[in-house]
Amino acid sequence: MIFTSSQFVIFISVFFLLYWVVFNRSYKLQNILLLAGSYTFYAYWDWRFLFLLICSSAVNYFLGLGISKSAKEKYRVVYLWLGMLQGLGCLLFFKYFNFFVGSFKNAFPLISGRFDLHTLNIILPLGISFYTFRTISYLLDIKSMKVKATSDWVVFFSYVSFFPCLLAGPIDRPKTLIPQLETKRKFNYLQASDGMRQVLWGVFKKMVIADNCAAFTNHVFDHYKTSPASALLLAAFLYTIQIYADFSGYSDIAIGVSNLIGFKVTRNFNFPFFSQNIADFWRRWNISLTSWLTDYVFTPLSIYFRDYGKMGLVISILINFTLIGIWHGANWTFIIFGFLHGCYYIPLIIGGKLNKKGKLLIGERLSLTTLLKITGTFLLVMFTFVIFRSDSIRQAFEYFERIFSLSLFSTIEIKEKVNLFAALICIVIMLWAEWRQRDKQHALQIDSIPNSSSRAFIYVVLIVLVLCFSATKNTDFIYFKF
Amino acid sequence: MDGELKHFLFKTSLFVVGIFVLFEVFFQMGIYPIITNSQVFDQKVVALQKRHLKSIKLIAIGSSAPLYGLDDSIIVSHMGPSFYNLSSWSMQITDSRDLMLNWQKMYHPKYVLLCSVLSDFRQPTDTSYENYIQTSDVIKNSFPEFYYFKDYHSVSQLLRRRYIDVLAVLDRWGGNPGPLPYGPKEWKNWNEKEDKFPTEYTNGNYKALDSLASFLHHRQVTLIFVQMPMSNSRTNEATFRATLEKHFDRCHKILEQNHGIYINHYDPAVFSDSVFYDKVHLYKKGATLFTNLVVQDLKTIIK
Repeated sequence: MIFTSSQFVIFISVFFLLYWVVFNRSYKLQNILLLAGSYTFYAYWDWRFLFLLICSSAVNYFLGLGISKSAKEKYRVVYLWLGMLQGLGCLLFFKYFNFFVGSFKNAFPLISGRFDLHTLNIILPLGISFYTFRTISYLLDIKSMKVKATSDWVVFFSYVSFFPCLLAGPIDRPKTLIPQLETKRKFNYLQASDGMRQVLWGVFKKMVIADNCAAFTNHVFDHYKTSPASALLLAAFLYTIQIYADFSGYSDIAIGVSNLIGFKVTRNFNFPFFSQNIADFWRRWNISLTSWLTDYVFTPLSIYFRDYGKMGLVISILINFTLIGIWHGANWTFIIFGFLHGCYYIPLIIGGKLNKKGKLLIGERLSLTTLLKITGTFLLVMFTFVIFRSDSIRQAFEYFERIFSLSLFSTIEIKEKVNLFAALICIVIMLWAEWRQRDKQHALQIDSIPNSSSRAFIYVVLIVLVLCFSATKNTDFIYFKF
Repeated sequence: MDGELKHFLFKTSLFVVGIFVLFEVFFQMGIYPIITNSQVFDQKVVALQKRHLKSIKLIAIGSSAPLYGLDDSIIVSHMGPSFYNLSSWSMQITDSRDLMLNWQKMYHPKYVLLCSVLSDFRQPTDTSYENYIQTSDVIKNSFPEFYYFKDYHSVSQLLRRRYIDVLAVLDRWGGNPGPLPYGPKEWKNWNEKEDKFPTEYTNGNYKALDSLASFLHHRQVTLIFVQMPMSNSRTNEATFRATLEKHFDRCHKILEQNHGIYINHYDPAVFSDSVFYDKVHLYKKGATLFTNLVVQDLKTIIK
C-alpha cells in the first residue's frame, strides 16, 4: 500500500476515525489499534514477510529485556551481539547475499569455480533496512543506558512496525518514539492540521514533481546511448530533483500522517538544496539515517582514530559514507556514491570547516558568494546522483562521457510535454516556497498567514495542481527498495 | 466526539467533498474516468452502467474487427434486443478470456459470439484490464466514478482523452456503425507493422481460447467462434496461406474439443478487397454482408 494510492486513503481514513473515536480511551487501546493497523499496512504488500517483522520484533524485545535485567556486563554484551547478529544477519542475507556472491565470483573466478556458488532469487522485504536500524538502536541505547527496555510488548512491537515510518523512515530512535507510545495521545487540532498540510505538500512533491520527472529521467537513463548530451544533462538535473521530491515527499507524508495520529517523529529533510557545502548537505538530507550513523558508527570511529588527528577524521568519514552508500543497496554504484561524498568532506576537514554552518537568515538578501556555494554543492551532489541512478559504474562513465559531447546543444525530444512542463514550473514553485519557508519544519507551515481564506486558497491551488498534473504512471517511492 | 476533532473533520471534509463534486461534474459532462488503456472499452463500461443491464442473452466479443464489422442493428432486428457488442480495439484472445470470466458472472449470457481475426492472436495480455476485472461488481454497476480514484489519472489526462484523442461513436448495443476513426493511411501503417504471425504470444492466445471455451461450456454457455474475412492482398501469398490454414485448424480443434461452435467466413470469393478498409476492417457494405451471414448462422444455433 503506497501513500499515494486510493487504498491508503481509505485505510488511513478508517484508521483515523477508529483511532480517535473508538480506541481513544487509553494508550493501550490506541497501541493495539496501531499495531493491528501497522501489520495490516505491511501485510497488504506481502503477508509472508510479516512473520519476519514479528519474529524480529519478538527476538529484540526479549533481548532488550535481557540486556536491561542482566547484572553482569558480559551477558549484556552477549545479548547485544545476538541482537546485532539477528538484525544485520537478516539484512545482509536479504539485501546483500547476491551482491557478495556475484562480486566474489567476478573477483575470483578460479576459486569460486571450485565451490558451488549460486545467487538466490531473494525478494527484499520492504522496509527491512529501516526497522532493523530501529531495533539495533533500541538495543544499543539500552546497553549504553540511554533508554530503559520496555516491558510492554505492544509498545515495542508498535515501535518497530510504526506504519507511517515503516517502509522508508524516518528512522526514529527509541527515546523519541517509545515515550510517546507509553502515554495516551490526545487529539490536537493544530498538530493534526499541520500534519494534513505536510501530507499535502508531500503528495504535491511526489505526484507532480517526482513522478513527472521520473517519466523523463527513466526514458533518458534507459536510452542514454542514443540520447543527446542536452537530454542527459537535463535528466541528471531532474533526477536530483526527482529523488529529493520523491524521498522528502515520502518523509513529509510519513511525518504528516504521524502528526494526524498524535505522534511527533524525527524530521528527515531540512531543505538540502540550500546547503552551502557537503557537510551542510548531509546535515539536511536523510537526517535520521545520517544522525543514526553519526551516533553509532562515525562517533565511535572518530574516537578510535582520534590519535591520528585530521587523518583519523578523514578515515572515519570515508568509512561512514561508504557505509551510507552500501546501505542504499547492493551495487558498486551506491558504494562509489557514498565514497565520493566522503571524499567531498576532505577539503572541509583540511580547511577546518567541517562544522561551519552557512546561515541563511529569513529576510536577508542572498549574496552572490552564498549563491555560488549553493550552486556548487548542488552540482557536486548532482554528479554523484548520476552514479547513484546508473545500473553500473560502466553506465555512469559512459553517461558522463556522452554529456561532454557536441550534442550538448541539440534539441530534446520529449514525449509527455505537458507533464514535464508542469513539473518544471512546479519545481520552481517548490524551491521558491521552500526558500521562503526555510526556517520552518516544512514549506506549507503557513500559520503566519493570518487570513484563513488566503491559506485555504493556497491549499486549493496545490490540490488543483495535484489533480491536474499528476504523472501518468504512479511510481513506487524510490527509497522503498532500500 | 471531541470538539477539536469535529472541527478538523468538518474542515477536511469540505476539501474532500469539493474533490468528489468536481469529479461528479466531470462524469456528468462525459469526461469519464480512465479505466484501461482502451478508450472504447472504457466508453462501453460507462455506457453499460447507464443501461443497468442485469442479463444479456448474446454477447459479442473481440477486437476492432467485430467492433466495426458487426452491424448491431441487423443482429438485434433478427435476434432480439438482448444483445451487446463488447468488442474493443486491440483486444487479444487472452483479454477476451479474462474479461469474459467476469462478464459471465455479471450478465449471465447464453451465447457468446467471438468474431476473430488473426491479429487477435498476436499480442500479449493488456494488463490494464485488471483494473476493471479486479473491481467489485457493485462499483462497476452503480458507482463507476470510483475509477477516478482507484487508479488515479490526472485531470489533464482525462481532458486529453475526452477532447484530443479520437472518441468512438457507439450505438445503443456497443457497436460502431460509423466510419473508422483515423485515415486509411494510419490504419494501413498500423496493420503493416502488425504483420508477423505467429508471434511469441500466439500460443498463449490459443491457450486462452481453449480455457475460455472450456469455461463457457462448463457454465452452459455456447461459444460461437466466427473466423472473420480478411483482405486478399496478403492472404494470396502461398506461405501465408499455409499459416492461415494451420491457424484455422487449430482454432477449429480447440472449439471442437470444448463443445463450442466454429464457423469460418474467410472467403475471398464473397469478400473482395473492395469491402475492406484495410486488411481486416470492413466498410459498411462489408459489415452488412458479414453480419447477414452471421445472423443466418445464429438463427440455426439460437432457436
